[in-house]
Amino acid sequence: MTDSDFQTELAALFEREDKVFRADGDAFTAEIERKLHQRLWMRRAVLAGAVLCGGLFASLTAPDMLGQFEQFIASGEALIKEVKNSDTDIPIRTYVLLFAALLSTAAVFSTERI
Amino acid sequence: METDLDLAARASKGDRRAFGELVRRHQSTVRGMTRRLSGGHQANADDLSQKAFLKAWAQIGSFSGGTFRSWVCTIAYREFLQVRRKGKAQKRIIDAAKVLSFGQYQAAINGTGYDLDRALAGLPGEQRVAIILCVSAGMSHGEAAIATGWPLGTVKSHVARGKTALQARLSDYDVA
Repeated sequence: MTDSDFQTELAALFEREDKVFRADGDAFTAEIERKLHQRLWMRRAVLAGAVLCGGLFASLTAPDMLGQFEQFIASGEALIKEVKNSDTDIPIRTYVLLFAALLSTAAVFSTERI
Repeated sequence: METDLDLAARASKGDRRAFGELVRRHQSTVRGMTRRLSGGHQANADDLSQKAFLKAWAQIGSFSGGTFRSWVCTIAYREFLQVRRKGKAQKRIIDAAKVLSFGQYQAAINGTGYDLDRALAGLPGEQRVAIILCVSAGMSHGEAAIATGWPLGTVKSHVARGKTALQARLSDYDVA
């Protein structure tokens, strides 16, 4: 038997042995898909939690940043008031939380892979 | 039927169904390869195979041509090395020696036949790995060289010596 013939036969032997895995191939694949799904949602949850916590932390403990943000929001608010001609007085923290929520939503839905 | 490259391209854009199809197509090769690397212990081999496919999903963006099968087998081999390095596999491999492997089971049932697992287990480590990667997983010598980090000539030499040794060990059996 030539070297090449032997390699072909050996490969066929391995393949024949591996056929046993075809029987539960769908179950194995389904398990992988289940784990991928689980990881994706875990990652989404962690991201959403981290962004929300970050937003909350910033809004509660960083007055300088909050001040700058307030200025930014105030200018936006002034613009909104001008456009809508309304006199709404929304607390700044609502904006911060809204911003954090928007950011976390964007992070969650832009994460399609692990 | 879509090619592996098409499926991998879709998977890299986040298509989990496409990746699932790739898993379905190649799971038997990867599981067979990891079973042989793990000394015939199927549960450990399936853990390794799962890790390899999950890692492949995470890194699918870096798959840039070649065959998907070789790429995922390379990941599986590196996972095997990592587990072995951590020392977890060592005890399992010793335990696995007590478990009747598929080849042994088949030989026991048939009464005659070959015992490929035992023949493989008798080879020196490097030859066994080279045979598993190049013949069982179907990698080219170049791909096996990349997977193992060995020079190309070394891979070729291990494969050639491994085949000669296996041929001698299996010569008493009808392997056709």
